[in-house]
This record gives sequence, structure tokens and C-alpha cells, in this order.
Amino acid sequence: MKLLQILVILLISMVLPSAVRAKTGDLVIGVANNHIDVTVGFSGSSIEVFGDRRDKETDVAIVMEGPRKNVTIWQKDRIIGTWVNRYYMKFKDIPTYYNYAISVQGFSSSLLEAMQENGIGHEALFYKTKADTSRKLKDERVYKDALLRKNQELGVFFQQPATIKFMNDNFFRVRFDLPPSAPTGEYKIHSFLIKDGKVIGKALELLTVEQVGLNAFIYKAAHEYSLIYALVCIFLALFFGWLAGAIRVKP
Amino acid sequence: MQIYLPIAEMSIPVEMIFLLGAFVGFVSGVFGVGGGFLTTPLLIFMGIPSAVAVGTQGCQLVASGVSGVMAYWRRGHVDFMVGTIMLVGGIGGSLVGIVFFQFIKYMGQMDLIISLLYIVLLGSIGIMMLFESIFTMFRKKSVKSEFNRLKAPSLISKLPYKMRFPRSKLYISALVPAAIGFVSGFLVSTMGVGGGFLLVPAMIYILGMPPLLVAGTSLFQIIFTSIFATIMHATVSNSVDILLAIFLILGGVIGAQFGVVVSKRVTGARARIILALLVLCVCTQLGLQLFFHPSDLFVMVIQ
Repeated sequence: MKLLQILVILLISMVLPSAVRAKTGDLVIGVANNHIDVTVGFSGSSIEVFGDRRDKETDVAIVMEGPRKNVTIWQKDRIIGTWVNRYYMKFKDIPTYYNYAISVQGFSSSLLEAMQENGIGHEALFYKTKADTSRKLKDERVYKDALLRKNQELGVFFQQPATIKFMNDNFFRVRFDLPPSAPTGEYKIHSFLIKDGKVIGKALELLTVEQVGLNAFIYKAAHEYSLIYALVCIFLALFFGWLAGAIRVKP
Repeated sequence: MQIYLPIAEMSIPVEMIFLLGAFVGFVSGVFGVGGGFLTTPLLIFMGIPSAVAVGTQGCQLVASGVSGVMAYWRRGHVDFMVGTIMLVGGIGGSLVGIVFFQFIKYMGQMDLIISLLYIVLLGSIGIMMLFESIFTMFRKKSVKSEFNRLKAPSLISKLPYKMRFPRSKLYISALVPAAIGFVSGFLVSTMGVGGGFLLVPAMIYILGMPPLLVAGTSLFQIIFTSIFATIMHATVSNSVDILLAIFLILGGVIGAQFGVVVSKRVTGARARIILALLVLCVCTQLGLQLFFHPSDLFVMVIQ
């Protein structure tokens, strides 16, 4: 067994030269590619996380989350016949992408608490969130559900957690899907080693999702040299407009 | 083929943008309108953030304006003096529009306000155009003459800063064209529409300009107001997506060619009835969203 483990780790480092390995003592994980390029033709991607646990009696959990942002959920209400955004609940620091996988079968109450504290699972997203609401709200639950559902519709949250596939007793892999609408920025991959309902070790991997090539150039130009960018847009519009006018006149 | 839009930060089939551009170009070729009233709502239906839809639409207005104005310019059907005065008002309107746009964005009511503005504008224009064209068709008599009689020149003629506009043979207060331009500028920067279908009747009935000069002059004004609005949107809210604009414009260029061919068969009152129905369709669609129980009561806004 020892030999196989060493072999697997060796394999990860050989096959995936760009892989970054995190060590929690008894858990090693690696990401196949820690830089996702968003090109003009980007139509989603997936992130392959490989891992190896030393002790097969332990469980593992992997969480992948995108850059955190503040989110407001509006609820529409009828005012003078029209449906208007009326009530809201603000959530602080909600990941713009969230997916996780856990190998535990039965969830004890101590484990559920540990999951909350460590940000594993959807409920953990609201663990430290201080709700800021307008007017009297009967139920915060509906807003939390709406937040999860809205993100699922966008494809950046998932109804079912990803599955951890064990290739043998120790070596496993997890696949996280990244939709075309995935936000750009720095992603975090947290890994947890769990034993007897407690988190006994954790590690962090970073992953960058970034626009590259033409896209990166346009994005940068639009944000850093916005006046020149605007002038280029206008020049192009003028040119195409002139072209269309010129073609039309000659039958 | 999926294409990732760098500013909208989303992936969308490029054919969809192209077809939308072609459809709008076709409509503008047939009816001689900018078609902005179609592009912005359709882009929003497609899931493009409203800020990017409005910001980028300005770019397309520049392109369709230029190609349109060239034909009028060649025939000398542009009154540059009236256009320039309107432009001054247009820039003021754009500035106010940008501030208003930022304000409703901050209030979290952007979708509501933009929808309401569209419903009011498209609804009133559509109904007016429909009635006017049905009258013309059945009575074989233009309503224009009645409008001209209804015009109240007393109030307008009392306004100060009178100017002479030799090309249009007008002697009126400069405030009137400036005010019309102001409304157009406001529409470009808040709704991404040039407002040609609002400007043209206003210039005929309020200013009393010769109808021959109206279309070219309004296009001339819309080009510059749109250029200004594009610069403002690009620098203030970084919401102009150049890739989206290019595909919209390319589609538009091709669609417009077909539109021009069709326009020779569909003319006059019949064309205006079709256009009015099209305008009312978009208006109804937006109205249904606002007045009927939405399928989803919740909206998510990420800051």
C-alpha cells in the first residue's frame, strides 16, 4: 500500500507538472490545472482535483469557491398594479461560485456543526452572514433559498454536491464543473480531513480563472484606458456605418 | 458557436447576436428607423445585463446613424444648423440621463424604471402612429394638416433667443430645438434608443421643419449624441462591450441591405401600420412582465 501511495503521488507530480500540491499531514491534494483561461471561445471547463489520504478510516471534503461578493436578494411585491422590487435581504461575502464534495455517509450533529464552521455545504454560506433587511421580514429562509436557487439557475451553484470517486482505498478524484458564466478571479479549493465528526486537518489551494488573449486585452483596455477604448468603439462604429452606407448607394 | 463577451462577462451564441443585429438592421432598412427600441429589450431578454445592453447600443446607433445620414447628406437633406442646436441640448440630456442611470442602478430599480420608460414611450408612439396611419389609409388624407392647425405657435413664439435657420426657413427660439435634442439625449443614455420615431414628429409638428429635412437632421443629431453617450458609458460605468457591438453592427449592416430592398415594396401608411404593430408588440411584452404575476418573485443583484 505504501508503495502505491508513493507511486500515486509521484504520478501526480509527473503527469501534472503544473500541479500544486497541498499537504495537511495525512491528506495530499493536487489540482490538474490551476489556471483556467477564459478565451473568446470559452464555453465552460472543469477542474479535476486529485487527492490521497493516508488513513482510510478518515473522510475528506473538498470545497471550491469563487471570489466572494456582496449579494442582495430582492423580492417583488405588487404596488399600484405593477410588480416592483420591494423587500430585500443583503448577504455579505457570498462566493460567486460554490461547489463541494464530501465522502461522509452519515451526518452526525457534531459533523454538521463542523461543516458549518468550515464552510462546507450550502448552509455554511449563511453561517456568519449578518442579515441586513428592509422592513419586517417574516422569514429569512425564503431569501436564502432564493439566493441558492438563483445561483443554481446561473450554473454557479449546484443542487447536488460533486462526488468523490475513490480509485482505491486512498486515492481519489473530484471533478468540479465550471459553467460558461463562471465569474473570473481567484478561486479557493479548501480540503478537509475529517475523523469522528471533527475536522482534523485542512489545506488550501488557489486557482485562477482569468480572461486571456483578446478578451483580457479588451477587458483591461475598457477598465484602464476607458477613453481610448470608447474612441476605438466609436471609430469602428463610424467605419462600419460608412461602409454600410457606401455599399447601399451603389446598387 | 459560443463567444465569451469580455465586458458582459458571459458566454452567448454568436449567431444569436448576429441574427438580432440582422433583424434590427432589416427593420431599420424597411422603416427607416434606428431600431434601438428593439435591440435593447431583446438584448436584455437574452440575458445581457441591462447596463451593458444600453451602453453598447449607443455604438450601434452611431453605425446605423452614419449609414443612414450619408444618403440624406448626398441629397442635401440635412439642416446642420438645427442639428447642431439640437446636439447642444442632446449633450445636456445625455449628461442628465447618465446621472439618472447611475441613480436608478444604485436604487436597485433599474429594470423597473427602464421597463416603465419603454412602455410609456413605445405605447404612446405606437398608438399614435397606428391611428395616424389608419386615418391616412382610409381617408386618403394626411392628419399632418390637422396637426399643423392644432399647433400653438403663440407659446413657442414667445420664447427668447430667437434664431434664423435659413436652410429650414425658420425663425424660432433656439430653446425649442435644444429641448427636443435634450429629450433625445436623455433617451440615448438611459434607454439606448435614438428616439428617431419621437424626434421626427416633434421636428415636423413642434418646430415646423420641412418634412424633407427632418429624417437626415435627426439622424445627424443622434450620431453625435450617441457618440457622447458611448464615451460617457465607457468611462463612467465601463459598460460598452466592443465584441457585442461589432457583431450587432455586422448583422445590422447585412440586414439593412435586405431591408432596403423590401422597403421599396412596403411603403407609406402600410409600412407605418406594420411598424406601429411591431412597436406595440415590444411594449405589450414588456408590460406583461410588469403587470402580470412574475414566475419568479426574486431578483438577485451582485454588487
